[in-house]
Amino acid sequence: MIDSSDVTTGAAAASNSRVAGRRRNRPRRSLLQRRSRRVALLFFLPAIAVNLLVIGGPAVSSIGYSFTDWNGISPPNFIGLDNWQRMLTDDVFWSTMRNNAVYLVVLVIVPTALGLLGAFLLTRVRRGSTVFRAIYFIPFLLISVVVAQIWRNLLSPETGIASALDAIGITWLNDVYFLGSQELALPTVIGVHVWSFIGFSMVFFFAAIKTVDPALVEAARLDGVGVWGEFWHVVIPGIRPMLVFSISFAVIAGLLVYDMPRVLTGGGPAGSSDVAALLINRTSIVGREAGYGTTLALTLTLISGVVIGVITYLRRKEEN
Amino acid sequence: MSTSSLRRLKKAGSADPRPGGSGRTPIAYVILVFFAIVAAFPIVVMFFNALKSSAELATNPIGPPLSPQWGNFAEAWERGGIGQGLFNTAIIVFFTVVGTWICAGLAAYALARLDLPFKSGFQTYLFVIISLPVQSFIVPLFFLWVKLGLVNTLQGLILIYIALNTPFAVLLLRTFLVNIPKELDEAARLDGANELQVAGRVILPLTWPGLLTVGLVVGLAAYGELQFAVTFILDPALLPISTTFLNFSQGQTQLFNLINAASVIIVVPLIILFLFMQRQFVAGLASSGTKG
Repeated sequence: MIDSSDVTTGAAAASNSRVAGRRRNRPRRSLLQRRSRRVALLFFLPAIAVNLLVIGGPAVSSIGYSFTDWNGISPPNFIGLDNWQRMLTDDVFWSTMRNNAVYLVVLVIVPTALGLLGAFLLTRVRRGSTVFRAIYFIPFLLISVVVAQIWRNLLSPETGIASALDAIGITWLNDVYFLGSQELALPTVIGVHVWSFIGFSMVFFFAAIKTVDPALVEAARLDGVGVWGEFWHVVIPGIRPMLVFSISFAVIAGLLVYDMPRVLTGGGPAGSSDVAALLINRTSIVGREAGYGTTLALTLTLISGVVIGVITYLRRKEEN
Repeated sequence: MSTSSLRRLKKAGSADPRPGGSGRTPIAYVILVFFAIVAAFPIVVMFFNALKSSAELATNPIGPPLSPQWGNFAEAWERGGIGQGLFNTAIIVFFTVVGTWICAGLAAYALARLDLPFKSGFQTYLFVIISLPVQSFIVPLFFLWVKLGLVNTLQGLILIYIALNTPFAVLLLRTFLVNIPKELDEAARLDGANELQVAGRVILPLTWPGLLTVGLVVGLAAYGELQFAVTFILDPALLPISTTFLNFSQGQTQLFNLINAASVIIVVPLIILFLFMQRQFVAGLASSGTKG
């Protein structure tokens, strides 16, 4: 891979050249510099090669494929804007995007609000904070297939909470099929996702609040701003960058979500909990409409790019 | 939060500039305990149900097991093919972590300590790649992998995981590398070490907290990954633990106790590892933001 003798002399000489180079002639130094730049490129090569093969190359080729009738196997034919026109009037796609929008809004609001509340309370108790944080974080560690299984079990009328309540005479949950009803499937999937995600928000915000300058907190307390004032005027401004980061993270997670709907409902019943990522995989890989699938995928990419762009823009504007 | 709890907190805060003790912040404790119950209850039920017989599960769906069936674990292991799944996942996790260490370590070293041409261009590329949705490349990637014969191979999946994790790992390791004094590499070079030796033997080992964080985050991501695993591996002998478990839980819906036992087998290693390395986990996950 790397000619080591060449590297040795080159590198050793390069470090000497800082001393010697000032006195010696210029062309010689630039040769050594070129050699050390070549070593640097060789070091960067494995990362960039793997990345271009798996991500960069396919991502760029997506753009080309979106103008074709590609089925994944045979050579694609150019069909102009047909896929893009079809996408604009594709009801199935836009209904998944609506579900993604609901997903996104809940995932931005609920874990952020409850995460901030939990984190702030954690900083105010003297004992037990470590234990609480460990407990909160564990749901985030469980892998998605296990989280889904736990909740499918708990929510099933035959085996879960409903059947336990039935035994003590509470029967109104008996016929509620959380994952089998068109009205409840999406809220339930989102709820399970929030359950697995919220502890991470709490622990993340807790770490963020800990970085707020204690002198500011002290000053606010001496001014008698009260708990709410301290939270709103000291803590929130102090953790703004982390807040923006976590909101962007939730936005991306809401737009690109795959695991929970895939495992809990498969997008059903009747598409009521279907999301874009599931549809794209079905269309392209199972349905072999790869060209159209890339069109949908690029639309999703563009939308998430725009949303992230807007968040970044708003943050910059506020900073100035 | 209710106004009364606010008042209570306010009183605690103004009485003492330090955070209130347990006696002064009862409402805070009530809320925190409530959150803890919501987080822990479903997991506790999973442990309970893993130990019940099918008959007991029918009459006692969420309570503690009355006669624990420890044999459930062995039976779940056997019937669910858990051993094979965990073995495949161990291979995937090991090579993904090592591969990411090598690719990201060398790249971060070049960015932080060498005279890399187009440095800012490369850095921008990494940032763009990190924010690129999986969907923007998964379709062409799948058919490229079909063409290259990498579908249904562990190495094909490992390569994808390395590529997915390297960009964030480069940026994380770079922050560790820029803080190591330059004199160290120069001394090593004067001793006749080549650049690969300087990087691999002298400098990168000094960033072990960064490497540990990367290893934990990447390992956790590879352990539970579903979307690529379910799309790229269909051969039953090669399924990682996530899809092995998915098939078991969807194929044997009557065996709730065994499915719960399998869940316990899968998550206990994660929980133990986390309890030992809490800080690295949180710091690493906060800096990666890769898990959807």
